[in-house]
Order: sequence, then C-alpha cells, then structure tokens
Amino acid sequence: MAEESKMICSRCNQVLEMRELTFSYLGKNGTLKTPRCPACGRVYVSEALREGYVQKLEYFLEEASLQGGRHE
Amino acid sequence: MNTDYLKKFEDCLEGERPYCVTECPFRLDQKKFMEKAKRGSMKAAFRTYRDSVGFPKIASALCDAPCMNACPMQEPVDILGIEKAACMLTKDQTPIDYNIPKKNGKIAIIGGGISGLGALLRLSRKKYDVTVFEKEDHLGGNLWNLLDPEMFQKDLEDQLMYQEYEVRTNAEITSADMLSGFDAVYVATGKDGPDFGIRGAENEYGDKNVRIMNGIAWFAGGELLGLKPAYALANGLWIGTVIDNYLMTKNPYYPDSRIPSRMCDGIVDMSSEKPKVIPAGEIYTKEEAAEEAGRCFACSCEICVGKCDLLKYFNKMPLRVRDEVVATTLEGKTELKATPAKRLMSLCNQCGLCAETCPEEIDMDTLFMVGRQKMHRQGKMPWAFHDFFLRDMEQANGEASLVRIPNGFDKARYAFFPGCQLGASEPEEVVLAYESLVQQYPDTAIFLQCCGISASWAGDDERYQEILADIRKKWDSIGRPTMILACPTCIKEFKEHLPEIPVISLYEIFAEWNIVGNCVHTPYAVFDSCASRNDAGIKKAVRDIVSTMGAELEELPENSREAKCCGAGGHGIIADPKYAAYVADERIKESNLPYVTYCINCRDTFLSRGKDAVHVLDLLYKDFGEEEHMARKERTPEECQAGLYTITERQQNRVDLKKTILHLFFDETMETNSRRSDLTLIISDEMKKELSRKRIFEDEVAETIEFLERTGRTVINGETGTLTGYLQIGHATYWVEYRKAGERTFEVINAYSHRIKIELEAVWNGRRIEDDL
Repeated sequence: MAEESKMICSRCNQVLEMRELTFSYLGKNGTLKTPRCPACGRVYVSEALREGYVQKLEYFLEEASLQGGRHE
Repeated sequence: MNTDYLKKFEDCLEGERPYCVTECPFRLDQKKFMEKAKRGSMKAAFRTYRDSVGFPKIASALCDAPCMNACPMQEPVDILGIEKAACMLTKDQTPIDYNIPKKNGKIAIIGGGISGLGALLRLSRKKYDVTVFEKEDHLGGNLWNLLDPEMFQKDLEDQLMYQEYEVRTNAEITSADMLSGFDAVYVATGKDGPDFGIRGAENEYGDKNVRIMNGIAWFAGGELLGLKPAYALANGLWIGTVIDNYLMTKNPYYPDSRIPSRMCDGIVDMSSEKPKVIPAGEIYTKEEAAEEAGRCFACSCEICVGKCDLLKYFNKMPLRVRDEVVATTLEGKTELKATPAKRLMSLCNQCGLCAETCPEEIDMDTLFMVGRQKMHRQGKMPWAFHDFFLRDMEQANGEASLVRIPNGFDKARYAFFPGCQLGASEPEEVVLAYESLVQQYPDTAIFLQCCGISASWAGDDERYQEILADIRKKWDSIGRPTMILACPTCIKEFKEHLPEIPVISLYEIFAEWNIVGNCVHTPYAVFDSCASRNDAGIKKAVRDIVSTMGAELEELPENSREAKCCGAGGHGIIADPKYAAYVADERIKESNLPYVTYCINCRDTFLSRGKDAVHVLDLLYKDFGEEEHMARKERTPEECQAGLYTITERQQNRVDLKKTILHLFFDETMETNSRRSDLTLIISDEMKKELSRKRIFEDEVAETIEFLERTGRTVINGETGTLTGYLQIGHATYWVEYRKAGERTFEVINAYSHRIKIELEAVWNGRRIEDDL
C-alpha cells in the first residue's frame, strides 16, 4: 500500500498522488517522484524516502563529478 | 602558497624497488615472481623469470644470487632455489613468437659469448638486423668452460628459436673499419679480448664504455669489462635496450642498469618471519617452492597505510591520494572535471601521524587541509559536511561565550580555557575545576570560547583567523595571562597558531597539586588523545592523577606508543559516519578495560559507540562509589550511551555554565532567552535522543511547527491524524510530524531533515499557487 494514499492535503483536502518534484543541491537541479497534492502541488517527503533515495541522491551530488542535471 | 608538502610526495617510497631487485643484475621483479610461485603457478613464475634473464637455465646456473645477500630476513628466502625449481618444473620452455615488423638498424655483435648472445636475443626479438661475429667456429665463448654444453646449447636454441639473425663464425674482427655499414656495434669479446678503444671511453653524458666512431655507436660490455658471467649476460640483455634507444633517438646513452634502492632498515616489519623450507630432494617441489615463496615479505614501504586509518579503510596509497586531491581542488567547473577526493579529504582526522612516521616525512594532513581550504574558497565544499559544527561553534562563541577577570583584579595571571566541548558535556566539572583554580590563584580569569578548530577543519581559514585574532585580543585585554587549557586539541592549536600565548594543561597543574579526588579501585586504561601524542608532560600528568586515586592503570599496546584519533578529529563524521565509526571501533578494540580520557570528545565518542569511558575530571569530581566502579566493567552499550546529552541539551549546558559562573563567581544574574520560540513541545526522551542523532535541534523543530501552524502548510495522515510539513532553515530542510496538544503545546511524533532544497513548489500546473513561497 503506497504511503501517499493515506496522506491528505490540509488545504485542498485531496489525497496526495505521486508527482514530480524539482529540487536543487550544491548548484545542481533535478527532479524526483514524491507524493503531492494533485490540486495545489503541496509536497510530502516521507522519512522512508529521505532515508532511502534522497540520501543516496545527496551522497551522489556531494561527490558529483562529470554528471550533472537531472536525476530520476 | 607554500607547496613544500606537495614536493615531498616526490620522495614517496611507494613502488620503490625492494632490496633484492636492486641487487639483481637482471632487475628481476621478485615481487611478481614470488607472488606467482607462492600461488603454485610455476609456469607463470618461470615466464617472469625468463623475461628478465633471457636464458633461464643458463642464468640460474651462473647466478650467485646477490639478491639473497640483500634480503633483510634472518634467513633469506631461497630465491635461487625457487628460480631453479621454476626452470626444472616448467616443461615447455619455448618462447612466445610475436609477429613484429622488421626495424631499420644494422647491429654488429663482436663475440658470441654469453654477453653477446644476451644482446643478440634482445635485439633480434626487437627485429633489428643483427650479425654476430665469432672468432671461433662455435658460439658460447666462456660458457664451454663453465656449464654442461648440452644444457646451455639447448637453452640458447630454445630461446632463440623464433628469431632471425646472422652468425659468422671464424670471423675475427681485427679493426673497426671492418664494420662500416653498421649502425651500432656491441663489443663483447670476453676477458682480455680486444676493446677497439671503447673500454673506459666516456661520452658527453658521462656514461662509460661507449664511443661514436665514423658515425657508428660502439658499446663495450660483458666479461671484457671484468664482469662475472651472470653479470655479463645481464649486461648483454641491457645492451638490447641501450642500442634500441640509440637507434630511435640517436643519443648514445649507456647508463648503469642498476638503480639503487631508497628502502632502508625498519620499513618492513619482519617480526613474523617463518622458518626456511628445506627441500626434501635436490630441488624444491612445486609445493615446497610455493611455501618458501610464501615466506617473502614482498618488501615495500607501506608504513603510512599501516598507520593511517583513512588509507587503510579506503585501501589507497599516498601518490594516488595526492593525484586525486590535486585533481579535485583544481580550479574549474565540477561539470567539466572529476572531483574524486571530495569526500576523502573531508574524512582525514588531522592527527598528524602520517608525517611523523613516514620515512620521507610526507604530510598527508597538510595535503588534505590545504585541499579543504581550496574547496572552501571555490565554494566546492558541500556545506552539509561542516554546517553543524560551524553553527555549534558560533553558539559557543556567541551566547555561551564569557571572558572575565575575577572581581577585585584588573588583570589576570591565569585564565581557564576549558574549551567548547567540555562545558557542553560536563558543565559542572568546568565549574568545579574553575573553583579549584580560583582557590589557588584568585586572579584566574574565565575564558569560555571555542578555539576555532571547527572553522579550521571546515577549510574556512578566513573565519579561523578571525577567531584566533579574537582570542588574541581578549587575552590581551585581560592582561596576557597564562592560559590553562583542558582540551588537547586546544593545546595543540594554541601552541601552533597562537605561539605568543603561554599555555599549560589543567592536568599538569592538578598533578602538581597532588589533587586528591575519589578513590578508584578498578583497573582503567588511559586513552591518549592524538593531539597530545608528543606531549609527555600531559600524558604523565594524567597517569599521575589517576594512579594517585588508586586506580590500576594498564597501557594500551598501540595508543600509548602512537596515539591515534578516536574518530572525532577533523569533523568527518557527517561526510561519512561509517568511517568515523570504523575509526572509533579500531581504538575500542585495543582493550576491554574502560578508558580514561582527557579529551572530552574521545570520551563522548567512545560512550556513543557503547564503550565505557570516563574523563579524568569525571574520576576527580564524580563520586562514582566503589560499586559503580566495579559495575562499570559490565556496563552495556545502552548504559554507556544513556549518560550523553543531546545536542540541544549540550547547547543549553553551555549557556547554563555561563549563567552559573556569572552567579557563583561574579554575583551576576544572567537573563537567558536563548529559545527562539515560545511553543511548548512534548518530546519523549527517546525522540530527544533520536533528534540528537539526526543533529536536529529542538529549537528547529519548534520553529518549523510555528511556521506550519501559522501558514497551515501541512499534510494530514488520514489514519493517525498527525500533521506533517517542512521549513527550510539555513541550508537544510526540516520536516516535522506533530499533533496539537494544547493552545501553544504540541506533541512531536517525528522529525527529520534533508540537504536537497525543494524548488518551485509554489508553481503548479503553470500557475502560481501561493505567494509566501
């Protein structure tokens, strides 16, 4: 059961859906998939996502050498 | 910038030839040979041997093994025995036939003895047009007097089988003019043979036994020069390279083929030498040879790798590290160039052991430190690596800082500088120590501040210099007192960067006073701080204090000789927590006894890894009681960790320390209003520890909740009803999951932070949704 299905936007009262989110770190930009409110785009980053993919991304960008730009 | 530390790397002994190789006339790569023999691959070992010696059977019969005299082992490895075994055990000794195009160049070899044949082998394999002139009617020269003809003739035949060359027997060369038309000549006429004036001649580069005559390069070598047969063969093989070089460059270089080794005694630890393997028969069997080869230490200088946790952990040698650091810190966009050492250089503990133990005094610490400074200047240092420590330092130097002379004095003779960490970990001990000092020397000032090491380790030299200047100014303003320091790192930094300020350690003062604390009846091991490695005074003082209290002290086998970092040094723990844990665990392995430290960072590092440790001031001021001392031996990791303050408590401790000192010693009341928010948070003890582990201050949690409540920017968990949202504070983004428990009271369920920044959240489906983002 996906986590986003139990998260509700407190403004639009809509269930969050997996959407793209733009981020930046150390001068580089990219996108990742995260639960967002389909109406207003409000973001939710769960701790599981933070401990998993986001951390890997950070680690990677800290070492970033030739690669840059989008990371999906 | 001074780049002497980089020049030093040129002297690195990495890859230096071992003793045996420099003595070997053939420059046989013994490490390669032994490695193959060791794993029982005699055929591969044979090939390595043959590639170096040209004629393996002849060479192994002629060679008197100078390598074995050079071997520094008690009983040298029987290198010659293994070589002979490799020759005997390899059935197919025929060479590999390479399809190489013919090369331009006509070479004459005068003399078909062992040296001339060596040159013939090398030059014909390179596909030059080679002619051997032999005055007798057969090849071999002096070999006929030395070896079994059947054996050496078979070896010559085998190794030369695929080569094309011309041999003219009964062709004595009596004058140089007879060889016009050749490009190069090798004179290998044997002992007492004619030398055509080449012997002893010197070229413009100072190389001997070479001369250009009528446009032809003449080289002399072999037994003609008085060399022993094995060396004559090696000389002939070397001529192959010399003449090849000459024909390609027209420079008649003829340097000595042997390069002296810079290896010296003590580089390789041979204490684990195994006894020599004696062959059951005449020569080694494959198994015996493998076992004997296994005794070889494959000598190379790896002192730094043995000493440095970082090099060992990442399995990197110094030259590669240098290249990676230099590449990483070159100016230029990271998109266009590699930055392989970004994290690596952020992990060095800055303990300085590398330069102290390297035979060439190569200083990796400075390489890493300068690298960090360069990264910082170029804005390439990931902010996350040091952000926490820098903010913590600013707190210690801001609201928690205090510099005061006791009332009634206009200048201080002494000033107590406990360092920023002791006051955060053990504020009461700082108060008690200050009280002791003031009792003895009433004009002792208090100096609460960070020495600036966090800025230094972050590569922010500008900020570091500012802090040093600030300390200097304050020190000056209180009458230039002797500073009494409690932290080994502060002592090291003061001595190095504030040499005008006289310093002494708190422990030396206490040891001199014969200060008596509690009675300690249990054994401890003193863990020396890496910053005090060479500070005999402080090391002795701490031992004296602890022994006076009655504790039995055990010396740590490694640490007491060469103190290494506990893992906290250099502030690499955020860049790679696993590495920091590895370093701490390496130190913990040394003894099961609880450690006594005199650096509070060491103590806290060990406690956080579940290893029992006390600070020497804990023993003096905390009344553990006999039972607790006894029980310490059995403390569980959880019990060890339980005593540690959270990062929020630590900052509060610093403020409370300042408040207490102002109250007790200066009769002042300090208004504290350090909290950034007036919310009341309900946080379980477990969650407090968890936040501390994640390096999230409770103030940051409060600030986030306050923002979320004000803006309503939350999402609701449909199952539990909890609210979650984020706020960016400084560089980092903080997420908090919470529940409202009252008007201004909130229960914190969870919090976490990340380094990536959320962008463009306000723009959704091409429309701007919220203006406050």
